[in-house]
Amino acid sequence: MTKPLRILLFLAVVAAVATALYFSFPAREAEELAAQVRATPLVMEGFTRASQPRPFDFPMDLGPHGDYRTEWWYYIGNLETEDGRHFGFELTFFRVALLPPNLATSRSSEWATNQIYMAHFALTDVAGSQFHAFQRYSRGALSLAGAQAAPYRVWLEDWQVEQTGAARYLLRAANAGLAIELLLTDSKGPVAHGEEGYSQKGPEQGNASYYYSQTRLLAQGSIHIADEVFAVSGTAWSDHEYSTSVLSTNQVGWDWFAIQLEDGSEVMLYYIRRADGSIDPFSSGTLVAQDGSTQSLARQDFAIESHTIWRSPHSGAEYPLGWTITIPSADLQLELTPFLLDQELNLSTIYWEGAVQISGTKTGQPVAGVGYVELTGYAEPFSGDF
Amino acid sequence: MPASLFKVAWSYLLAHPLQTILMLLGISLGVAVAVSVDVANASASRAFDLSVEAVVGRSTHYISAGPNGIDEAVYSDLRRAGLELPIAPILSLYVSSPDLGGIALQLLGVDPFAEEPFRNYLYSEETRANATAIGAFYSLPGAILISTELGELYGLAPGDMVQLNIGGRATQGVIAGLMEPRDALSQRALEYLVLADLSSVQELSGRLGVIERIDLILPEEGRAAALQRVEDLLPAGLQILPAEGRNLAADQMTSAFRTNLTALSLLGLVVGLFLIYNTMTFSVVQRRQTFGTLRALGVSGREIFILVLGEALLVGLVGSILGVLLGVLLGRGAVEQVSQTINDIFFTLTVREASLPLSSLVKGAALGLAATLLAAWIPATEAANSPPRRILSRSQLELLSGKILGRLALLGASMAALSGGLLALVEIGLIASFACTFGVTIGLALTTPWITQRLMPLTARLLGWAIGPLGRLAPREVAASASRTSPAMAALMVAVAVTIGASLMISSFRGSVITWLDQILSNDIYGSVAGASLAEPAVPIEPQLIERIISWPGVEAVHLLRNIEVDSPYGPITISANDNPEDGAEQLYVVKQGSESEVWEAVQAGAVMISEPLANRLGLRMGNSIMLFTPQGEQSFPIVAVFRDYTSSQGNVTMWLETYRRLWNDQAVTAFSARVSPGGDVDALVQAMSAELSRDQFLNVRSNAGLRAETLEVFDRTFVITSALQIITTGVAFVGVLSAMLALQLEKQRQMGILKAIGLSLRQLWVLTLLETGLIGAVAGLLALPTGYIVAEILLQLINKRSFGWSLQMQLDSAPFIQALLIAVTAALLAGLYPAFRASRRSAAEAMRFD
Amino acid sequence: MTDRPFISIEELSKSYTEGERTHAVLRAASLQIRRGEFVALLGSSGSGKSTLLNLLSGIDAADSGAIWVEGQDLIAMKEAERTLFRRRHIGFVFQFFNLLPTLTVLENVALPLELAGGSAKDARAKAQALLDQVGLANRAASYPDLLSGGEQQRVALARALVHDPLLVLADEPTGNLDEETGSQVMDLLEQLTRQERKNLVMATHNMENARRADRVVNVREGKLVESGSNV
Repeated sequence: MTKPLRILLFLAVVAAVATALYFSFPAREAEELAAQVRATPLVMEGFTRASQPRPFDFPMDLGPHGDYRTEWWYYIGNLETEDGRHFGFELTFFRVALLPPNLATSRSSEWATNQIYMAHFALTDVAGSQFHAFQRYSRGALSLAGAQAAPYRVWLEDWQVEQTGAARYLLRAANAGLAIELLLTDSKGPVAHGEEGYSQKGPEQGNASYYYSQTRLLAQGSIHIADEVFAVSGTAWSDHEYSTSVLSTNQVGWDWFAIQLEDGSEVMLYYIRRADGSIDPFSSGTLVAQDGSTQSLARQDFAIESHTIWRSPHSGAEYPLGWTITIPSADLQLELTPFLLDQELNLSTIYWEGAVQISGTKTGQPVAGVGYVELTGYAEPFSGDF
Repeated sequence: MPASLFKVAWSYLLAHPLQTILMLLGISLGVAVAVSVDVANASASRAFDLSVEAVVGRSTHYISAGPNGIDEAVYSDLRRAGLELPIAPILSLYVSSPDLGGIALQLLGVDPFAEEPFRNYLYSEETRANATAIGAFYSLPGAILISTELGELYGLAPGDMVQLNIGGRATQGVIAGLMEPRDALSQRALEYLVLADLSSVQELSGRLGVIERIDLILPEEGRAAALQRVEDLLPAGLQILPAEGRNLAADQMTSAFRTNLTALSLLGLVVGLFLIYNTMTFSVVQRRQTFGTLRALGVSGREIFILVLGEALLVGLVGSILGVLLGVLLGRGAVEQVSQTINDIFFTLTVREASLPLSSLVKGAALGLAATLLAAWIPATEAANSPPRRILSRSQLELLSGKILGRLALLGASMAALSGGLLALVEIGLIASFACTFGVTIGLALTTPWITQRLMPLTARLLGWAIGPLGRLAPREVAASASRTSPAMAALMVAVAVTIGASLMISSFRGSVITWLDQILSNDIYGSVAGASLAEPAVPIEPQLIERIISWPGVEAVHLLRNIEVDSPYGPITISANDNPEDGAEQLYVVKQGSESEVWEAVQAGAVMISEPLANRLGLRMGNSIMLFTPQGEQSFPIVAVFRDYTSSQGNVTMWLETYRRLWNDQAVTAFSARVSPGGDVDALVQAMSAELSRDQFLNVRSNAGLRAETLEVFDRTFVITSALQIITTGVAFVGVLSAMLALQLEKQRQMGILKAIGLSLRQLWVLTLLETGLIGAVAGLLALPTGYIVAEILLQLINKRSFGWSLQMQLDSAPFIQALLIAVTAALLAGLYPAFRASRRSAAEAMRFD
Repeated sequence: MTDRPFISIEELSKSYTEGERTHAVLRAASLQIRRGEFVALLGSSGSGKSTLLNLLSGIDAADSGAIWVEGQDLIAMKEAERTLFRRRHIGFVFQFFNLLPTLTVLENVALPLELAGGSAKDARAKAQALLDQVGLANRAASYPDLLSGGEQQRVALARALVHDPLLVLADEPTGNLDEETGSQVMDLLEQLTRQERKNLVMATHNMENARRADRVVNVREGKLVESGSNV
């Protein structure tokens, strides 16, 4: 699915870069290049686009895809201590390419790069009613930040996720006295969304991404808050998505849901919201069964209703929090409640991404679970540039 | 206090417009000089701070290595170590661009994402909003950011190509964006700074894989622990040093220079002070009758005191304001001179414009007012003590003053002796040294009136014998009016003495430099990489060029020099490492261990020689050791000699090139000297080398004579402002003498009338007046000769040593003395012209209507 | 010696401008003085008698009219010529003595001769002789400020006569002296001028002094009015 939000985040950086490209170009053929660059405000030409289904090639596709403009690796999860103290976490790595491959020049400095990385690290301490979020940037050079396929690793300075064995990963991040260290075990393997991972986001040709998830990562490790250490375990979820151009002009934001139920199944859903307040027909989702088999959901296959409005004291944005989700085909009805209301990341881009508690019924039986919800485009309406 | 009393003051000022104007002129000139130098100093200091701020930012520490820089992996390792401390890599170099005015600009290579905590200029809303170029940095080779001002100045917009001259080579850059800092302060700091991504700077400078330093901000709390954590992560050979050490060292470089200028500028005010005192005293003496009458009418002494002081205050206020305005105008010129000198000698400023700190203006005005009040205090007191309606005959007044002159002379002599003693015997700071120099000068100046009085009877006899009654009359009049003319005389004496002192100092300094140049410039050809500013760090010469120079036809021998700034426990220190075995014989030694050849043998074995300023600055002597940071860690070098060197007031360490190369693992060469085979044409060779080598790298190749001339040119440029200040000071003194003479003639109107009545012809009147003023000038000038010599000795032996660490040989030259005497007499004669003219125009009857 | 008057003042006018007001001091004043005559100009302060003396000595210039002294028109002379004329022919005695404080008594007396270019030796000898005559030979080396008022005025007399002038001009010579001293000074002045047959023109408002003159001329509002001869 999309986390168009992430695109937005990205694009904040990309916008600056693109405009700069638009302005100027290096020596020699520079004038020609510059003219070429000035011709289009957004440099999409030259990047590879997601335009048709293309089966993933693992492990190669775990790593970066530099000829697509944007890419991210997303880790979220719900954790608990033995005595039931609940935590949520988010660790996300974003990559953006500054120049399309055909324009990139060969450089002799190790500092030179065409790739910029950004990472977000957030921790939800339910018992302490605390939510912390941090952001870092770096260049994808000099091993300051980067991603690689085999062995799999994605990092920005000392925030990183690295493969330690078959289906095993070590996740580490620390900032300002907060730290997390988790051993993640993938119990299902990668799950492709859309059509073999080809996830169409709009009616235009190429407005799509390649998108897969690891929907059930068993997590075990520790969380440090100041001088306290908590041994925790739980379930995590990872997304990996890359694309060049995704959204149409009238799409302003999205509500995204990652649901992990106690019966071993998962659901991914998103609504793309349009400028007129309606829900875009390209909104979709995926049902993941206990055995890892998937079933795609189209716009008409599910319904999401929100109950209450929460106004952020930080940004002033109003978010719909608390949802009822109905998926008739699976006879699934779920109530989603945030562990904390205030899980807004007030960073370079403002969005709400938080841990939620889930209860409901599945084929008539009660079912419980945990999940993560991402709400974008509420603080600042994205005018549909992207 | 009745308003009519103020009218007394006001109408006096109006009734004597010329006197008032001269008083105003004296105050405003004095204030103007002080303000202009203060503005220049403040601008230089500010420019300096901003230049440092722009480059150093808010860092508290920095990690530095030797000339080879720091392996860039050290930075990324630190970054990935989870230090959670702000750290930023820097690689900087100097560039110039014909498209950007051809001046030296600092090109700072940074990682934009690491910069925000250090240097905020990239992160203003405006820079973001005009959507620049953080990203363009990474991917565009040669992409640079310049300030909006610079862009506007040279009509450059994002996307424009500019030529960049780096290390003697020309390459292309492209403007990726314009920096729009968020406040005026960083705007000025940025003005002459060029920013680029580290990748571009590495590529432009050819220093791949290397950064110059890593800036850090360590928290105040737990700094020691943080320092330890960083240190633990550093490979051997890297030091973590406090940033202020570097700033301080840089600041100290120029502070002595600025103190010298301030002292010189205050001199103008001191001379002005004499002038105000002189004029105020006159105005009081002239109105003794008036004040006596007022006292008889019941006006209190205090009221008269206030009246006179109020008058002075009014004049002081107007004069100060005029002075501040004039000072601002003069300041613009002064700023240029001062910045040029700083650029020549100390540091490449990234800021050049004059700033007009309010404090300079307020300080100048306050100084003018305070000086006026101070100078008016004694006359005002005298006026307040006017006895009611007592008529004093003039001779009574003079008699009184005669005693005062003796006492004044005694006071002056003791003051001079005390100040001189302090200077000679006690180690005191620079400012105190200047205070004592002032003490000596002013003390000697105070003896001038008394000495004049004593000298006049003899002069009267001599002149009387030579030219008759006028020759007798003039000296007697001078002696009689000594108490009135003494401030003017003292002022003239001070100005002339300082002129002599400064000229002697400069000519001796120049002489010392020439002697030194003769000694050290023993080769025929000298070459180094051309830069836009003299103070920028030396850029290495390309190795293949060195090969070509060595094998150049007609070149007999080539010696190589590596100039480099390295870190040390004392701050940055310049090393000159050379491979010239003759070097030992080509130095002027202050002190050395053994013979010249023994010294040089020791140097070849790993010892060093240090220059005199360095020895003074660090308090190191021959036989001590100096510690330097090398990539191998801290090393100690025995000092076997201290030599004279006028290239830098910071000083340098001379070592054997082999030693340097071994310890710093750096093969670079920054300069060469070559000896031409016997019979070769040096100039032709210089031209050929210049032309051919500069195809690859722009080298300054100069002949011995050329280099000498260039060095002296910089020297002379450095003293332009000194000379300008001297001229202004003499100007103030001239105004002083003029106003004193004018007032004196005013007093003597009646006497002139009598003289005319008994047959004084016009010609005789002119002769008498000019004889009087000329005598004053001659005496002031004559007394200034020894005083000037003493001042020169102090400047040479003490002030220069304390300011710059240079000791200089006095080189006596008659020219400054003759010049000064001429200046004094000419000024005095000129000052006599107008009074004589006025007296000649006045009919005797009119002059006598005082009866 | 002829019938022709030694000094002839014809239609002399002089006014001073002070600020915007013009003040006429002399209005068409005329007077004839014979050789050796002692004339007193009698008048109150500001009547114009000092101005007349200044014009007569050539230290001030008239607006119109003529002054003939021994056939020479003073008014027509240039400043330099007037100075030469004054040097040779005129001696001045002032109310306030006006000695130069920086010169000794002897030097003060010798100064007019020396200014005129005489040799210092000659000048001093003559000065010493005159000091003898005024009875101050013993004070020759003193400075004026050590002398009494009467003594100072006697030095001034000596100075006025040292160069053997034709005409001595005295402006209120006793004005600053007590009666007795004044009378002594007047005696001396009269004696010295009459014995050498010099002309003396004296401005005064003292009737006593005026009575010593051969002729008294009243100065009233800038006009000269003959009040008769004392002879």
